[in-house]
Amino acid sequence: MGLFKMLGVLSPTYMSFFKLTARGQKVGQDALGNTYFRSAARRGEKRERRWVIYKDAPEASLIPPEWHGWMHHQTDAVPANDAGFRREWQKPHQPNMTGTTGAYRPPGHVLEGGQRDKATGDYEPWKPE
Amino acid sequence: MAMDNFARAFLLTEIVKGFLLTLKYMFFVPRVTINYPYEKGPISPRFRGEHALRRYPNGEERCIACKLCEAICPALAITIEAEPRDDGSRRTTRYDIDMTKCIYCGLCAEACPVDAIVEGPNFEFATETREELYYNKDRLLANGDRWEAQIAANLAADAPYR
Repeated sequence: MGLFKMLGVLSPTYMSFFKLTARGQKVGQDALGNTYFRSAARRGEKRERRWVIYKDAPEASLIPPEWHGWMHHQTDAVPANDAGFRREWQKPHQPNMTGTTGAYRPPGHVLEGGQRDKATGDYEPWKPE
Repeated sequence: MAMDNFARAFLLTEIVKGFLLTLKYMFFVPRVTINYPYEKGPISPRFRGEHALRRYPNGEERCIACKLCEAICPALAITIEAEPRDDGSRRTTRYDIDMTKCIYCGLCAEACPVDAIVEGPNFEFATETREELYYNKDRLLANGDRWEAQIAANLAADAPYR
């Protein structure tokens, strides 16, 4: 399994080899350290080929919103190297946290304390004296 | 006829045909597959993915609790409760979307008069448990704060057609 992870299809070794054979040009790097590449369109395709080499484990939701549009061919504009213009209330990107302790859960969940906010449908049960 | 069948079976013509088809798709037909986590498919600026509540540039939340999205939602996935805030403006105290009910039709985003609720471009929010998909207002606002860069770009790209 370890060898397959290192040498198999979609492994970093494979992707580096692929980068060489596809003659990829580096486009940029995002704040998380992921590197983005492009190369000419493959035969039978109109769009150029774009891909990303992740800094750590290949987790698709690690691509920040600035690069998400470019990665999905929504725009040809390459995001600036710096974070670009950001409002002060904008938050940094977060990958999908499911399966970790940082996963989102609604406040009524037992792991979040089990105390949900009050709702208009709440009622007080009748207690016999 | 018997000889013909015998010759075909003996010379393995079906197998050769099958391998020729394999050969054709290996080398001569353009590939249609992509290496998903490294390459990604094209999506439209109108793509309807994970919901987000947006803010005005000064940081004020847009939602005014008009409940049009709650009314139009065909799956009854949205629950809103509202009260006047301390400064007198009408805001939601509760904005829940049950993402397990949502059918991603985009009617909430179309009904919204202030572009508060939108369906963002993110589709990689699959979870391991059901309860992680019961989004509340904090979660939706946080989505908006994280994805604002691309949500704004997509709305701008689609604006001429709306």
